[in-house]
This record gives sequence, C-alpha cells and structure tokens, in this order.
Amino acid sequence: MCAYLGFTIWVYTIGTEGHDGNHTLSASASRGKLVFQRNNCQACHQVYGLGGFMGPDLTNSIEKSEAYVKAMIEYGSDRMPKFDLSAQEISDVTEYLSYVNQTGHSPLKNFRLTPYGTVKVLRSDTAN
Amino acid sequence: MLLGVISAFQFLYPDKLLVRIPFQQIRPMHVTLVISWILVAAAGGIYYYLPGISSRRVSGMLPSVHFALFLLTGLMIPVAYLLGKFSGREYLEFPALLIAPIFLGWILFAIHFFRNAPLHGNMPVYLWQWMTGAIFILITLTEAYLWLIPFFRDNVVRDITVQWKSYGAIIGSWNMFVYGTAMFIMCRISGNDKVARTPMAYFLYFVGLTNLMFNWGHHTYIVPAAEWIKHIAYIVSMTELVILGWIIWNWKGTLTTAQKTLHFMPYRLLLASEIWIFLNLILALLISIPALNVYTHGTHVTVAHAMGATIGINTMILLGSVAFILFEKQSNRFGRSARSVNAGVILSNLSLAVFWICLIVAGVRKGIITYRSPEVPYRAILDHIAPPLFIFSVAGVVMFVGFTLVVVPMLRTFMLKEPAPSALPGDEPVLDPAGPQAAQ
Repeated sequence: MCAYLGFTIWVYTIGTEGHDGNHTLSASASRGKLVFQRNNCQACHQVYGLGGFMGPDLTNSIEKSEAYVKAMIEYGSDRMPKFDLSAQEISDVTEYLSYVNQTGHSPLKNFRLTPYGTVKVLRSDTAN
Repeated sequence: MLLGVISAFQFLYPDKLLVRIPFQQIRPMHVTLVISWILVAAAGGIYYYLPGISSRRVSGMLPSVHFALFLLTGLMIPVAYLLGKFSGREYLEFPALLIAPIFLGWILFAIHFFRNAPLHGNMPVYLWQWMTGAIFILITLTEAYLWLIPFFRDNVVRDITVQWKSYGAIIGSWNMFVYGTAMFIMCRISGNDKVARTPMAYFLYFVGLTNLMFNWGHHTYIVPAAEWIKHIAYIVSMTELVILGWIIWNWKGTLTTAQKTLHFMPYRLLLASEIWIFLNLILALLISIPALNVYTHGTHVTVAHAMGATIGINTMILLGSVAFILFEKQSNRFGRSARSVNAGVILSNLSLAVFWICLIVAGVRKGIITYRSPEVPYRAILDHIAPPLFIFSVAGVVMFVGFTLVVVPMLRTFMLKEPAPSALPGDEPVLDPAGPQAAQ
C-alpha cells in the first residue's frame, strides 16, 4: 500500500509535470476543454487514442487548419451533428485543440521499436 | 444490450437509422448500463452470500439504502443523457454531481461488508477479493474525479494519465468483486473452501492486486507522460502470463470438473467465462506489449478486449451467480425453460465469438491503414472496416437474442412464489447442503 501511495503521488507530480511540453492551458483553452466535455465530444472522438471511434482522433486535428476545425464544429457533417455553440465556445474549443496539438502526437509518427517490445519516440515527434 | 445493438448500427449508418437519439447520447447510455449491470449484480450477489458466511445476524438496512441510491441514480442518469447533460468523462459521462449518491452507496457497501464479513488472516481468497474491491472502488472513484481540480484538469497529459489510472483500477476493483464471486460459487459447488485457500489462489490474487494498482499505464502508452510509468505498466502487465500459464497447466483439471458438473447451469456459465478469460488474457497480453499497442491503440482491438471481458467474463460469471442464487432459492432448474436457457447460453457465446473476432479484424485493418497509409482520410478508413463491423453488428443482434433466452427465464423464475418441478429428470446440483462452512 505504501508503494502504491508513493507511486500515485509520483504520477500526480513528477510523472506528469512538464510532460505536456510545459505548454500552459490558457483561460480560453480551459473553457474550451469544458465545452468539449459538456458536449460529450469524447463519445465520438479520441484524444491520444482514447474515446469513441465515430470520428477521428482530434489530438492533432488543428494541423488541418483552424478554419477547418471551426467549420466542422459549426456545421457538422453526415456523421457529426451540428452543435449550437456560440462563436466564443467554438473559438475556445479550437484553442483547447491547439493546446493539445502542442503536447504530442496521436497516432505516433516518428518512433522505433526496441528488441524489448518497447517504443522509442524520436525527438521530432515530441512537443513543438 | 438493445442500446449496444442500436449503437452498432448507428455507427455504420449514422444518417440512415430511424432512432433519432444521437450517438453521443446512446453510447454513454449503453456504457453506463453495462457498468451498472456488472456492479449491481456483483454487489447484489455479495449482499446475498454474506449472511450465509457471517457469524453475525446481518441487517438488510444498508443494502436496501444502497439499492435505493442506485435505483435513483439509475433513473436520473439516462434522463440527464437525454437532456444532453454530460460531464464528458469516458465511462462516467453523467453529470459529476450524480457520483455523490453512487459514492455514498459504495461507502454503505463497505460498512456493511466490514461489519459482517468473517475477516481474519486465514480467510478464503474470495473474502480478500471482495474486501479489496470494496476498498479500491472508493479510492478509484475519488481519483476519477480529480479532474474537477484545476491542478489535474489544466494539464492534458496529467489529466488523461490520472483518468486512466483511475479507470484501470475501477475495472480492477469490479474484477475483484466478480472473480471473488466466481471463486465463492466454485467453493459452494465443490462443497468446501479448499480451492480458495491454496497458496496458488492467494498468489493469483496478489498478481491481480498488483495489476490493479500498477498496470493501468498500458492504456496510455502513447500519452507523453514519464517513461517509467509505461515501463512499470509493461512489466506488471506481463505478470499476467502467470495466470495464463496456470490456466493452461490446469486445463486437465478443468476438463475433469467440467465432465462432472457440466449439467449444472451455474457451472456451465462459469466454464464459459473460463474460456473467455483464456482468450481475452491472450489478447490483453498482446496489446499490453508497447510495440503492438502502438498499432492497436485507438482501434477496435481495444473494443474487442473491453467487450470480450465485460460480456464473456464478467457477464458470464454474474449470470452464473444469478443462476446459482435462483437454484438455491427456488430449487428448480428453470422449469420448462431450461432448454431455452441452455440454447441461450450456447447462442450468446457463439455469437460473442463472431462479435469478438470481427472487432479484432476491424481493429487490425484500421491499425494497418493508419500506419501504412496515413494520408487516407478517416472516412475512407471507416469504409474499409465497415464489412467486419456489419458482421459484428449482426452478431450483436444474435447475442441479444441469446441473452434474452437466458435472462427472461431467470426473471420469471425469480418471480415464482413456489418452486416449480424440474423439467429435466436427473438434473440435480452437486452441492454439499452444508456449504463451505462444513470444511471449517
């Protein structure tokens, strides 16, 4: 139990501190994350491969372009409903996805497999 | 089950289906109901079994309050989904406030358990498992809501890592309830607690506990958290090879027991779960290897593992528990419906096999296309995996029929006021009426 407690505290702090590339979540991105959750976007989309599969992984979706992401949120598609979000909410969600994009890649791009069955991510695939 | 079938067809034909409830509302309803089934059936079974093994006079007050809380939240959660109210956290999509009565219910469960269970150093392993589940469900539910604190919420790497740390352990907690129940039923079928007091039983429990606490990182291999989290998860996940090895080593013993006890419906369901434990363990071990996980993560292979476990393992064991309780209470073998139950068990397992294989095929295809041809649009990937997913959806319909054939007679038997005569002569349970206490 002590090992579990120590491990837990380490995960909460050192294990995850700075691993988002020290990118700060702006107030807009923070609001955007809550909009993302309130509309249950993860039911259909993934971040870091975690979530539903109706739509694509959104971790690096902003790389398509901010305008594309905003248009998808505003107008939907045959697989995605049109959400009645305000311009501010759409902007906030976009800001949140921009932040996520800076933390890493999903799926992984530049990596190699080791003989031990592990994966080594190569430098160019880490945070921008 | 019905919502699962609807979700499957909605996924394939999102603009064609007549059901107007959007996927992002139906999916969480299906997920919440699945988790509810597992937890309510497991807790209900433990509440039922405790008075038979406790040295105290067990009051039903706390279980009744727990049930009332679950019933209330069970009604409020679907309403919240239909109204479009979400917290948006996977597996716990309902508004965060609704975790309060659920958490309270599990506190009551823990109080009731610790008050009444005969806990001592030499207790059978199922009591260790139930006790572990009772403690860790509280710890992990708390952890699952740390996202409410900005320190966790405002760092996506920390948020996702801690989220899946808690989810891995929530699943581990309910597995402790479920596997403990399976062990308890096997003890009752065999007439003594010997199988739950062997060194191997305690060792396997320890392996399970270690995995509950430390293997969750295999869900987040590609999340850029510290490398040692992933190394620990990899090493700990591979300890489940011991369990796989033990199942293989004991296959002859399993076969001998099966030959003696297969006519007994609860055992038949437990045997089905053993087969699914074997298959899912192989799959889980494979996808816990980071070098394979990188290709299967975010694909339907993960879904195959999740559904193979929740349906093939958890549901089979819990239906076995329900059948066992019904046999004790009603002294019948489902009357004239016994054949329908038998057919349902076979049909649901065969269709689950097709279901599972199709998900793996779809996932492997998606993984290959994603890495070999990253320029392929997501829509095109979905078109490529549509054929196995169509077969998966049809298998889901058949599985729904199979489980209906099992569950409806169970419900009917539960409602019977007096025991009905057995429809199948010679179909007697091989129970020691004195139960496992006779061995103590």
